[in-house]
Amino acid sequence: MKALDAGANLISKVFPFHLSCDSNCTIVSFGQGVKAMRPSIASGTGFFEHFTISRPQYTSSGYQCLLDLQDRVCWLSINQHEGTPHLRGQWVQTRPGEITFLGWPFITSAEELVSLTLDSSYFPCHHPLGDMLSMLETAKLSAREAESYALELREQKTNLERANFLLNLRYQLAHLLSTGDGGDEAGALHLLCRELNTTLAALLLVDETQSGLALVGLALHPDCAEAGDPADWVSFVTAFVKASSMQVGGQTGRLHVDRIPGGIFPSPPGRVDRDPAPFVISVPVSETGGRFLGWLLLVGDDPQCLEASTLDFLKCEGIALAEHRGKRFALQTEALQRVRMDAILDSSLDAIVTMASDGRIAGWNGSAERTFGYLKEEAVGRTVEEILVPASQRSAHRRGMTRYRECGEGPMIGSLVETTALRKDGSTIPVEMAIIPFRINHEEYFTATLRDLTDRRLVQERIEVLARFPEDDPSPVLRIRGDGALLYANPAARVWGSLIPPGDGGQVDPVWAEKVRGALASGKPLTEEWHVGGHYYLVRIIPVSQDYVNLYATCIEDLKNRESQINALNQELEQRVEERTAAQQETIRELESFTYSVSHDLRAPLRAVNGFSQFLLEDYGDVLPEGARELIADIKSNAAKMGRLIADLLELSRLGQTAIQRVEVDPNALVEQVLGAQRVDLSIRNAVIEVHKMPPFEADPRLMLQVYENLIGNALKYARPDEPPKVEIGALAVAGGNLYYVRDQGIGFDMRFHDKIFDVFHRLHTNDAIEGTGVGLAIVRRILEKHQGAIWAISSPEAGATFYFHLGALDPALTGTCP
Amino acid sequence: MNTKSTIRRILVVEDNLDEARLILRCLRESCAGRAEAFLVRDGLEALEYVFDTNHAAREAREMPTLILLDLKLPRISGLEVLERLKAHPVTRRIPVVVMSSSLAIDDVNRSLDAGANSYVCKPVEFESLREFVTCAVEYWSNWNVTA
Repeated sequence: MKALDAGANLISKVFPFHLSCDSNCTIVSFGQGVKAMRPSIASGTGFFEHFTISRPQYTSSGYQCLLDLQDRVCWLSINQHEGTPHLRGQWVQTRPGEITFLGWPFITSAEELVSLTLDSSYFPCHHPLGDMLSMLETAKLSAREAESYALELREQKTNLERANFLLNLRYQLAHLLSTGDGGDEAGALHLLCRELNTTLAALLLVDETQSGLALVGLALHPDCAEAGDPADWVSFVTAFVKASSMQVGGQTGRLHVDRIPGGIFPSPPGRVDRDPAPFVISVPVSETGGRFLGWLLLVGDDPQCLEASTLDFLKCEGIALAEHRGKRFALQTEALQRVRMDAILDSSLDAIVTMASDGRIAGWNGSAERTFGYLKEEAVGRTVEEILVPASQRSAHRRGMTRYRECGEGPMIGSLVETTALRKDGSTIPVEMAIIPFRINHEEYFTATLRDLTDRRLVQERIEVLARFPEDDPSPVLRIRGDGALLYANPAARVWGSLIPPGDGGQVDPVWAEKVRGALASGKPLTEEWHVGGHYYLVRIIPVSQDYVNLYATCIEDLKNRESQINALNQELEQRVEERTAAQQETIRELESFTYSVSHDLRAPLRAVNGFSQFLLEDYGDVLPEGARELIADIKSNAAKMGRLIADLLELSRLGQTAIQRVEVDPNALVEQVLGAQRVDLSIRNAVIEVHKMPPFEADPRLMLQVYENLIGNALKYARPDEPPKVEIGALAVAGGNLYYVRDQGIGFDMRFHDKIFDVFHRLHTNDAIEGTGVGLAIVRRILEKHQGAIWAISSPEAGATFYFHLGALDPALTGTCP
Repeated sequence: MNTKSTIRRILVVEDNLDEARLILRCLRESCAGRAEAFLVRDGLEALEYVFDTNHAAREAREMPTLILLDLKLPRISGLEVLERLKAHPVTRRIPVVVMSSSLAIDDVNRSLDAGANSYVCKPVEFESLREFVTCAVEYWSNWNVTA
């Protein structure tokens, strides 16, 4: 376990709050931060031994569950987006002043938890809306990215840990070997010693002559102060090599572990009386292709410090080192490691930027690409100052770097700070940043973990805004308990003065308390208009729990004023309407008066003309010549005709003024009345009238009588001179109603003049024998229009005419047709 | 009293002289020797003739036995004359035939409501007018004026 932890050291440094699980929810790896949070955590143990997640509940947006970390609560929701659920969430603190954790755990399905990446961050404490903290954090990755990432993780998860450890080991060894040529073997061995947690690490290589082993380097664990003099260890190693008859030949070189006290080996310095006895692991070192190079000796207290997998790795694969003293090997291993590292780094939700001590960017993960807009190829090699630090902070950045180089500490190092960072498009974003220094190959590096805070800032601002509500509300907001105790009153409520009891818990006005009780009892919001403190308020009492209500009041004084204004305007309007109506009635009255005058005054002279002509005939007829008598007769008939004309015109104008009175009318009866009363002259040349049974209609009977009178009269009037008039009267059932008709076999008319026959004074026929004023059809049309009906005719010269009419709305397409 | 033998006094109230001539001719032809007609030209004259016992045109006790009344009259309208006649106990039994050019239904109704005994719409044709006047006089002459 120690070895595994040691091997994962680098990862856990980069990901202090990293937690990976396999699909069985068994923990695969975790960072130091998680370990600090949950001391009992260990690889291979179940995720749910340390954490509890509430039963996921399916909601409209996906699954929701609660991750309970005893005193902290992680709220997770699994959103179903494009069919691939991904999980997003947030660590939320429940105790003031404690660090909490925000995280975006990833999950490939509701059941399979793959990886949980957590990062420490501070969350605002003592928040006034403690119970409102369950806010949403925007998911940082799209579902697709999460899916491919999860897939990649699944592929890697089984061997990632082991591979990383072995890689590290290989790297250390490669480094050791590559620098063995006059390099810093001791430093490299020191590192190995520390990483593997052994007391001693020594490298023995086949010498130039291929006949013996030479001790190339030796390092002791820095913590093993009691390990003794290195010189003693040199002699121990020499003695051990001799005693164990270590082979120079490649094929026989196998990894083996030896117990020191049990055999022929010399005792290591200062370790004689140790229990358990120290051991020596001999690791054969060979080149790719099998050429044996030498041995790596590891001396420790407990052989179990090396995990079985490590031993297997060392046994089976050896340490396939090619060109062990060349730079190429080092580069290969570095490249291999970088691929692995990049996979881990790119999987992070946070931007991870690795910077060399000269300020140049060495690492730039996928999230950094997304966050800052630079591709890795663009970023690597440029300085952090150049592309990430806003211009205003560059001098401070430079000072900090200088200071760190001088005294090894800086304000930014090792702690979580909020700052701003530059993006490629020139904009700046708030970020949360942690910088952790580490060393590779004696080079100092800095890993900066940056998180875009834009979304969180927005949420924080929103919370702050929400927190100010209802304090900022310009209208009174109260919370009143069922017993009338005032629980809360916002500053705006002070306008109500003494009506608001001072301090919490005071009793409000009993009338209010009664309303509150009513609202609580009904459980429904109550909206009323109150007159409080001389002003009108619209008050809404909303039961927000079983015990108390929220009371929102809005001053509607303006509305009230406007209401009274509106009332006044309405009254004025009504008065105006009355005035107008009176004026209109006056006009109508004047019109009636005019009509009266016309009827009276125009007819009187005509009567005189007619009368005096008659006097002339009667008194002087015997002395007048025949021609004169005929002329007098013409004068008389013309005067009589004009009298009828005036009568018809008066009738037409009266139609416009009289309101129609609709009753059910039987058209058969009307026709009978027209014919029976001999209002038309049926005797004319033996007229034949055929009447079909007709359905009733709703109309003014007096006016409809006139319609039939005019139509039947016309039908008789315009008969062909050579044969007796024949008239057919009936009705047709059509869509939406009935169509009534009056058909004759008369002289007809040209349809080109159809519309003219309904015009006033328009007569198509110049035949003087046919009497008529030219007003009859105009009256008929006016009457039908007053009944929302219509009339039209279908005819052709010498082929008779049919007049169709209907009352009330009918399909407009029917109008003008011959059904 | 046998009214048939009595010389009837018919008061014609008509402002239009031409109209008056037509009516008077009708009366002359239809009741020759049996009636005398007296013409007044407006409503006020008509009321004076009826109510003024010292009226120069008639004997004090010789009230008209029939009044032919036009509606549209200067000074006092025919309708008001009618109302005044019908409101007074002495005159309300005198038959009044309204003779108007108006076809307006309102005029007819108002006249009948005010107590007109007949309403005649004066036709343009003289023959028709003569027929109407003759009918009206014949009819109302049988009315027992003294009852």
